[in-house]
Amino acid sequence: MLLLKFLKQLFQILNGEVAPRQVAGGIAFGMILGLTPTFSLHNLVVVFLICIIRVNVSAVIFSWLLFGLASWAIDPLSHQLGYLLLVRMEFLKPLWTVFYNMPLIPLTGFNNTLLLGSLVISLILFYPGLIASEKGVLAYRASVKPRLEKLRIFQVLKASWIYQWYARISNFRN
Amino acid sequence: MRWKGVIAFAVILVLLCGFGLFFADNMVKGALESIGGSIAGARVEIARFQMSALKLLLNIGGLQVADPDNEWQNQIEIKDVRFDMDWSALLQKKIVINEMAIDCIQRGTKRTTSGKLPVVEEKKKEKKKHDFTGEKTAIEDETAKLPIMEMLKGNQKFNADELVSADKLATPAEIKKSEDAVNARHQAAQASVNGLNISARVVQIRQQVNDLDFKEIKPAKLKQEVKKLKEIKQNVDQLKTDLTSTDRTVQADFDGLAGSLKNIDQMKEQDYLNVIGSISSIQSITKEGIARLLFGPVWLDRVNSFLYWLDLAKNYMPSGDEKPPAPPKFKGIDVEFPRINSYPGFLLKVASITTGLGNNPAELKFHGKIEGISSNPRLYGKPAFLIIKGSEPNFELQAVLDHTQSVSRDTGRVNINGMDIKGFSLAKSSALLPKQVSQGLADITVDITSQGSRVELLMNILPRNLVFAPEDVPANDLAREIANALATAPNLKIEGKITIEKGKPDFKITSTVDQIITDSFKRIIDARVEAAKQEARKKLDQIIDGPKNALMSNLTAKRGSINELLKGNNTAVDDLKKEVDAKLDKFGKLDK
Repeated sequence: MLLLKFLKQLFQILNGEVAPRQVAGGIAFGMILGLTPTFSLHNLVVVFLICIIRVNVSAVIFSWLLFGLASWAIDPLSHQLGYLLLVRMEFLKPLWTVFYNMPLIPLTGFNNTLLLGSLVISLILFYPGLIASEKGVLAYRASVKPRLEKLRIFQVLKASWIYQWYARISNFRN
Repeated sequence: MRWKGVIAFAVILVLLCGFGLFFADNMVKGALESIGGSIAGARVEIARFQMSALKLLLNIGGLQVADPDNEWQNQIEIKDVRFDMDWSALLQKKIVINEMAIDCIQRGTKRTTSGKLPVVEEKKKEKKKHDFTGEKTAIEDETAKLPIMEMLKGNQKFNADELVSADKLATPAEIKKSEDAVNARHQAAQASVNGLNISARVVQIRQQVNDLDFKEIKPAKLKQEVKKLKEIKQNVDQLKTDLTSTDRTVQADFDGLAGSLKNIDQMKEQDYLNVIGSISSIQSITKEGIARLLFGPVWLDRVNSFLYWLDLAKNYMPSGDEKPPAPPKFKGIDVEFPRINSYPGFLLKVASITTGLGNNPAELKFHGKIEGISSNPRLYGKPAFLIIKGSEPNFELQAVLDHTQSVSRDTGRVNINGMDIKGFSLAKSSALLPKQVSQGLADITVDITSQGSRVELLMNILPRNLVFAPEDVPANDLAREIANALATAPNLKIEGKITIEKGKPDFKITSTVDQIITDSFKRIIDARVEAAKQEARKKLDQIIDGPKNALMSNLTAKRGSINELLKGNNTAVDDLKKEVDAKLDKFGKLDK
């Protein structure tokens, strides 16, 4: 049921009921949550931003899951980048030393190669991701959606008793 | 700004804080149990866990560390551990323990639940152990080749039938040869006596004597008859001479044979010496290296446990220049950026241990102090120090783990006086030594030095008052002899030096046990050799004496028959000679 609800919401946000920028924001924030280790203090800040900025939560969850899977692949790259920043770039050492010896900051785990590397990657990808997602949603609504609706399988699915039954329950609840 | 979102975030935050407050104790407890389990290689359980940020205290009660080798027994059980934490350091993600107090430690207490780790964690533990399989296999191969082991396998049980086999002896062949020689000589003697044709010649000569006519009145004719008689006399003398000569030759031949038969006795003695020689040649054994081969595998296992803890110390207290290991997936490496005089990520300043003050007999009795355990010894700048003194048994342990330089240097010394070694395994599956000690004490000194990848251990063990249960002694006479000798030996001593360079062990163990084993082996072998000698002598007599006596009888019989033949011929010739001589006395002067 939760999966169906989630899929329904996903279709709703893609099919024009939610502003494309909100969807794009959700995808961009979800990308940070997915690419970086989940239980980190900086993610509390991300969650706070998700709560106060108008972004689509379903898009956040969808993006989080998607980029969570992608993080498996980019893990070694994140570690290498973190190692470069923390160990190889000597000129950054004084900055890290200040952070490391401040209260609370070390609890963010910034001195972990994987965490820093993945955070930097996700921050670099944030804005391009935001723009690309917005354009992607708009493009979907303009060209892909009408073609999809014409597809026979789409019509069959929409006419199926499962969808009808779900829609009835959903309407009744609303 | 979405105020609904702010409220939602505030709710999430409150929930997180509440969760932390209610479940932090259990989470830290779980983490400690998991980390402890991976270090100890068995389940670690904490009965009570209390963390108080307000009182700046952390208390652990009922800490049980299961025995990896016996899942229903605890390696140690600690009643109470109290920590005085520096909570401000926690804000910098550092664990600083100003003081730790450990009270009441018990060993070998029973468990009600299994102490075995789940399979996944067990696999992780296996990976960390040093692999000495190659060394152990080499020792086993070397041990199997020892003459002492050959004997235990039954290869040195002397089989008289096999050792004293007629095929391998020289004497029976010589007897057969002599038998043939006797028969040949007998035939030759018989032929030469018969060749003289004595009977026919005697008859012929007698006929010639009878044909002489001394009644003749003509002097010329009578003279001719006397002349014939004298010629007959010469023939008789010649016959006698031939017979005597043949007799002499035959007697000389038989004397020669009898003389050569005396060599059979010498040859039999030589055969005996050869048999004894083949028995004695397999009793050689050198004492060097027996202790190394017998005790080696057990010591390697013990050293392996020690190395496990040493590696663990090096892992958690790395010295400066060691290259960090590759990070596991989703973990990364924590890079430290300390300032001078700042704390490392983990620091245990002082830990005091006091146990044995209660009346519990299971409680270990010792006290000690550990100082300066740190995750970054180079930053802390002081080596870790450990001193523990105990009363039952009387022991002292001192160790310095200096990881403050680029190459770590650890030194330690353990002195134990009168340690109860009941249940102590002497050797791994040995057919020579008792499985374990039933009763006994030992004075033990161990010196350990580890510098970088090189580890050196010097061990000196003086066992005394040893008692072995009969069921623990392997069922063979040598093992019984060794067990008896070990139990009664006045100055037992085992000294070992093990050097491990880059995980490869090289060890030497010398011990008075070597001499005891060698002596016992020699005693057993001597007794077996003595019995084998007697058996060999008996068997040799059985094989040789019968044919030899038969040969002697044959020789006597053959010689007797020839002598009988010669005697008959001699009598006939002598009678003829007397007859001729009488005729000659009577008529010999008629020719003048």
